[in-house]
Amino acid sequence: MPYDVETIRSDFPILARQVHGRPLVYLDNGATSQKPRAVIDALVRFYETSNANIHRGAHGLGSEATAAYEQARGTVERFIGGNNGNELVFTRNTTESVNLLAQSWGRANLKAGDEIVLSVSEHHANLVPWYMIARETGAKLVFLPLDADGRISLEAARADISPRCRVLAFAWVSNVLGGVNPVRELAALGKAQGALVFVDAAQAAPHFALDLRDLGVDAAAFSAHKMLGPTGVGVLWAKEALLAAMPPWQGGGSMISRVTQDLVTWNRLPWKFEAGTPNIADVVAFGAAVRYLKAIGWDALRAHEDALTAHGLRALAGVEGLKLYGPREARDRVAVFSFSLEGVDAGDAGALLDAQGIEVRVGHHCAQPLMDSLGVPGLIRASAYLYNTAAEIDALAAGLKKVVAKLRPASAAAAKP
Amino acid sequence: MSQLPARLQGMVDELCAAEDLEEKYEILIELGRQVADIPAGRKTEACLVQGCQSVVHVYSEFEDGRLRLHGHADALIVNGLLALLVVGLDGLTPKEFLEVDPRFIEKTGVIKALTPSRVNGFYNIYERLKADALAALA
Repeated sequence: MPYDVETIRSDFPILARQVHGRPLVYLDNGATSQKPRAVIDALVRFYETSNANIHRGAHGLGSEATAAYEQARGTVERFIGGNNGNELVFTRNTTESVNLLAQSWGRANLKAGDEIVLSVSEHHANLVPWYMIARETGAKLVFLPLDADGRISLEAARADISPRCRVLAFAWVSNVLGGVNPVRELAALGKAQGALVFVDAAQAAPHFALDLRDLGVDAAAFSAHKMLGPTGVGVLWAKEALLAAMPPWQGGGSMISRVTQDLVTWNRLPWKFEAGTPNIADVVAFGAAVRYLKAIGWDALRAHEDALTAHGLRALAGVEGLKLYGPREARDRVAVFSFSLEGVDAGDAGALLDAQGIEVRVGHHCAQPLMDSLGVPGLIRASAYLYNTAAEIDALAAGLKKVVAKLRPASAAAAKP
Repeated sequence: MSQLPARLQGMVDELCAAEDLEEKYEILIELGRQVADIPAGRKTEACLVQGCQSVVHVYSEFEDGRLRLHGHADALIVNGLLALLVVGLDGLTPKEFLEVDPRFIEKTGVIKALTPSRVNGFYNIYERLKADALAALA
């Protein structure tokens, strides 16, 4: 079936609305994606027809809700290349998944002198949890630098990933630069030293097939809300042997097998890590989001987004004073564009774009070490997804030209021929 | 809300009359451009307004019973918000200054579009100047 972006757009009710009296041009997908009708309907349908608590009770409604929840787990697991049943844990978001891994595995395994190797481009979600466990255990954080294209430098990784490396944790795709990191090569370097290899797939999962079992990593995390699903659902995927060896993190209902006054034994995987009533309805709706993505198909989605990326690179090159960060070539990145405008405050630019109905993000993008290494206080980020069009990218470029005309000091404009 | 000082009222009227948000921002940018920069020697920690996303300095001088207000922000829209206060309320007596309710900003229609940090920034600038007005009265 040919990719018809207008048909896809019609599945997303919010895209028809206006902001500040202008048609919405939503280019903040790196923060969260919009939701198709199928996901909204699945959420409402669950509450209208199947709502009950799961994994307990002896009534039909509870069994139905449990089946819907566990079916969604299977749908998501198969979508990312797994089919084991014990390897996918639902959390609140990517951040909680990283905290789970760092707190559970890290506390049991890390000691003074060990190294946790990250990159300077990590989102705070894949930095602060490791910082916290490093402080607790005496382990040390090591930051891999980026190459000239803004991707993790393999050369530096070969030098810096030493036998002391016990954890290698990095983002597959930078939330700021949009660059796709060489995940297989990095994973192999980490595994060669016997490290735990974790990949933050929050910005990868919405855009291409993960095939996690085939990747050479031990664990990965991502969030439903960046890939058409609801907020409040994250995934921690990890190999069964790893999860089995990890102690539980949060205690409570559902995660136990037996509780006496003297002894508690743990439930089996994956429920050992899902304490308390989970986010049942949102997980079920996440299943609908995955089915929606599957129906479109990765090949069609990739072709559309790659065309948007190439179009974006050309369109943004025509904006005076715009400095784009991240890979130069479309094949090395996703359709995420972070840039500065010479002589223009990023917050001012964001406000003026917003007044034109163009929604982007400005600021440090939860990646302050990256901002420090680039020597900028913040950047403007436009991030596209499967429903964005070339016309919207053109609207962004035109909007930016207006911003430059209004905000750039006369001296900076005159300095350029 | 009590009557605003004439100069501030003019600025507020202009913002209220703007057709859309884009025009409101243009007015703020223009107001921001008209604010004279402050001497480098005044851009000190003591004059820095906390809680703004951009770098903002304000200070006041008390001359002949009136407050002379000065300030500068490194972002133009914030400088426009700052102008409403340091230009719009310049030259008032401390008592007159304290009679102005800063919530006039909510009538202009720019607040609901601004990020919370910029809204807080506006109120932080006001609070800073208010402290000077109270000190002048003491």
